[in-house]
Amino acid sequence: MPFCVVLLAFSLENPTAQQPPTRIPLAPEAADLPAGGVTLSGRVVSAADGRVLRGAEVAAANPRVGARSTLTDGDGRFELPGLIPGPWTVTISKAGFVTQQSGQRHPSQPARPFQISGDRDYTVEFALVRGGVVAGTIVDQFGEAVAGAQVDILRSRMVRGRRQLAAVASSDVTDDAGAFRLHSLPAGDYYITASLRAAPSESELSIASRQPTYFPGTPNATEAQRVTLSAGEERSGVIFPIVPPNAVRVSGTVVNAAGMAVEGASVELLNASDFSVAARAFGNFGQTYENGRFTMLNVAPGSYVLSASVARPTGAESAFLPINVGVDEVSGATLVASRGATVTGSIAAIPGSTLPPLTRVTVSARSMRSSEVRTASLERGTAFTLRGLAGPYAIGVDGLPTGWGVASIDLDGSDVADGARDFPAAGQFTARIVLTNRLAEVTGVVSSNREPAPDVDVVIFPDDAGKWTYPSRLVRAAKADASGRFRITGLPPASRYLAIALDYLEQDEYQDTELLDRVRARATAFSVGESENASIELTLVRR
Amino acid sequence: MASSTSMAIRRVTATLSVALTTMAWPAAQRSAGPAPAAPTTITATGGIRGRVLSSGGAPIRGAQVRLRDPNGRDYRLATTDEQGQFDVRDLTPGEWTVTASKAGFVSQQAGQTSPFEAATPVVLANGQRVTVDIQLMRGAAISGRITDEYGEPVARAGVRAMRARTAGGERQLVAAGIADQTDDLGAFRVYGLPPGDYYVSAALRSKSDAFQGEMQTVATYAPGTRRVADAQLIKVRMGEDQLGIDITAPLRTPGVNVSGIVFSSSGAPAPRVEVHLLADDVVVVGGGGSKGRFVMTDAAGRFTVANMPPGQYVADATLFPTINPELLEQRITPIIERGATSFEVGRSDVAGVTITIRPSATLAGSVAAEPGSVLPRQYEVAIRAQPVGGGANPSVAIAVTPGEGGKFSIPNLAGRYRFDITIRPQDWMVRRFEVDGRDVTDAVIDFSGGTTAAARIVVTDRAARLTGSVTLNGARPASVVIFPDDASKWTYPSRFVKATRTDAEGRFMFSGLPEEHYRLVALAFLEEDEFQDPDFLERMKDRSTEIRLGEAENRTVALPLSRR
Repeated sequence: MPFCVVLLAFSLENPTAQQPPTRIPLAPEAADLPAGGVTLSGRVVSAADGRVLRGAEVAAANPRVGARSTLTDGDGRFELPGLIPGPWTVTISKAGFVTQQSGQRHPSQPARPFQISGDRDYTVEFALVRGGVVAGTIVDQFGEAVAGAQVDILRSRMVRGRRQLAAVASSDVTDDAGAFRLHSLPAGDYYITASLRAAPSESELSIASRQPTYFPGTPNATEAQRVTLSAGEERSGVIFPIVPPNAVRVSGTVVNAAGMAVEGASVELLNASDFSVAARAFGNFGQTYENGRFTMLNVAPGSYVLSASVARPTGAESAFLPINVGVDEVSGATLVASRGATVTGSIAAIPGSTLPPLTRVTVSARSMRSSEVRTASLERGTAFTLRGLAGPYAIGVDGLPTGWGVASIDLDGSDVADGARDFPAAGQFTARIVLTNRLAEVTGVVSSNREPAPDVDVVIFPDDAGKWTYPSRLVRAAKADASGRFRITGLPPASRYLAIALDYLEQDEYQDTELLDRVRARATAFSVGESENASIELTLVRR
Repeated sequence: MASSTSMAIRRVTATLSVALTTMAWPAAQRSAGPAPAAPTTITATGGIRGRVLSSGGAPIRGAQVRLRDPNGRDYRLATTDEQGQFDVRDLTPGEWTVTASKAGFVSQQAGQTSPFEAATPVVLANGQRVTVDIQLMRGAAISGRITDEYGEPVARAGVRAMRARTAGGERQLVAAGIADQTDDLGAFRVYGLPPGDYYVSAALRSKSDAFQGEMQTVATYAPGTRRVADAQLIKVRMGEDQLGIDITAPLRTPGVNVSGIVFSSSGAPAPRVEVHLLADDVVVVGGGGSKGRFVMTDAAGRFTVANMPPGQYVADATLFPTINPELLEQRITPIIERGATSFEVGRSDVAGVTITIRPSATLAGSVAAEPGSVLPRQYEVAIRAQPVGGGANPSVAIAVTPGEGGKFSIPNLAGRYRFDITIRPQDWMVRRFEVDGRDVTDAVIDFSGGTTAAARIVVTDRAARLTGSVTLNGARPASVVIFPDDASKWTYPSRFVKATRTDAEGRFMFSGLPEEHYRLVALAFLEEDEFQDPDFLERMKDRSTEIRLGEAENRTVALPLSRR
């Protein structure tokens, strides 16, 4: 993608600097700030043809002083004076072009601030890429226009090792001709949804769910059709029927093991496919009422997991209940909240090594369904107890001293050092964590056309696809530095690892097994033994 | 930046005015809705079904029907079938608003005759199944493009159609139809509009303006003006498409610094004064106009506001006294000083905005019966002082009862006010309102001068009463408006202009009327506050019935239902 031409100035560590004009500080206490601050100026052009872009917005934000913004003039030029030294995240936007932020090689990457030092002014040129367009019409089951349907465009993202569809910034509401137009989209793969809302406003919407219909006209995310847009492509004539709303209510009660109503439990309806939140309990801040009851409005047909959790001084209680929603109201769903499973265990060192001081070490269980993390600190030096586990969790160790890593985690006979494991309610488990100081590391350099390739993404993964679990100590990513060098430590030794350097990676994309499968043929193989350092050279692979 | 002390003071004054309002305005509220229903025991759920039809009576299929429990506890969405029918079950008893919408039509609520009329909810009893039909009229649309000074499209601007109305004596703009956001070509289309005259306004979503160097967004009206007075009025007929309503304006602009000084009445600079800078233009209901700004003067009485967008402003300065919990405890109202000035912001910094604050006035007085009348043992005079032009001043409402010997005192009056005075029992009326011996009945009163003013409210039971009936011919209850023939009396508030609704049989009554040459009109519906609009009364004149009412006269009339 031509995105690599973009932000030329920002992809270098040191942008083109002008000679600093001589400045006399106003007052001694302001000595560290040049009088009037630093000026960031430059031009915004179109990446395709170098044409200047007029009226483009250039905004710079700093955590200390907030945001500054300006528009480019008739020559595409802008000037942002008075900036203090420090990190500034620069955002350039213009109708019909892809919005760009400092530090991005690809629009799906997070922005990185641009460091401004206080002794000179900066001149930069930004080249914006034409945005793609998806335009079309939403109709009803009679083929007539639907007005007021919200049309969202989604991309798939890695969340806890699974692909989840998430809306990107662009959305539109159909007009009285049923027409929508989603614009300024970066090249990529998209999914399109249309939905009608029952609640009149966005604020109320956040508590009552909507039923999306996926292009080409299905309520089922798995049947959604992917739309691939190339840079600046305009895809019009996307016409699809919205599935008539089916206002199913899901209601039920949360009780404890003794059958007593549980008040104040947070209840969520999770999509069974990826555990994303489909709906929250309506009213009472998403929690159960005094009688333990909850209601969810306007739920679409599909497979879900009802999840309830409540914090208690004696420990958290939670409950899960898989449900299928059809066309009829679901009432009387009963969730039995329990303390969950308990894992007791201890930490040891591999034979021949002595445990280092473990003062900052905690053992954690990360839920695969939510961002919940349960942690246990060590008692009597090496013992731990994790409580309240219900559902799939990954067990890990945090805060290890440098040079130490996990060799194995034995849970009642199976190694759970990588991947997650399901914990049934009220189970009792015994774990033994073995730590090692004989892990391997890999260092290397990435080049492109015999030049070092700075800031690129490097992925290390085992050749054995059976080990591409989430999470995994063996599937790792790192960013090359300004001279194209990278280093990944704490690798378990293995006879066949693969390594690849890519021009960009989306957030957590290295966790995607599809990506690993796609790039494995172009990856470089290496092996690394206990306490070894493998040194490899990689050639940049453009996606 | 507001210091915490000033915030505390502001909170306290807000509490005070709330306390006054709730103490004083019990039964006299004019447009009070039905009292909240006592919690009922739910024994069975009910249902609402019906049809969505065009104004010609043809069924509309695929229309969206939204049901909402006014407490926001439940929302339902249904679509009509081939026959235009919908059927929603499992509804809890209570009040439900039912809204139907369909592409190409104007959205409307069940119980509304016009989209501008205040709607009444559908009342559902335990286990009841209610049938409602909703008729939709063809909607008009206005479309166009927004471009900046280089002819480049302006994307992601919110565009609304607004209509003007007069309510409470003030001109205001109200959004109509369905708003839109411009796309990457700068194109917009606002739709679902009933026939009428509209302005089109566009604004980019404003970012936080607390920061110094952000571009300021400015609401702009077609064809590219920031002032409503210069805006293009677009007439649309039923179902009409008005194309090519383009706006040329960048919608965002750098702001400038505005600075000034506040002097007390003694001529000394006044520190710690709150200064509100508010846009001086037609009020836009629901916001969307330029946002106000708020600063405190420094020790030298000076203030500076950075990054103000261009426009016409009013600077309203208020000095609150140091907070004294003991005084609050005793309900002794703090004395405040106020002042205001207007200024214009262009492309360069504005310095030297000067405001002089003066102690506010206290209006003290009593209620007295006119010679020949004797005040009843029980009465209540409700007084509502409403600042002209809104601004930072709160409105004040009090009630006078025989308990205090008919005496009252309204503190903290600064600037110009309208007084709305009503009396119960209903056959009584206000004959005259005097301030410092001057007859100011139905007039705007300016309190910028003195610190105290003496008021006298003269009431009488020599009011006229008019009862009547409207020939409904099976139609739903109608609205009746009575107004004087003399247009100079169409003020707000006015003792002469009143509106009411008939019962199901078409009966209505007006009481507490002064003797006057009146006009009467009965209509299928009234838009909210429409009878307060002089333009509306002017339109109603030729279809109204004349009636002369003498002092204490009791009359009965029969009225036809007039077309709107």
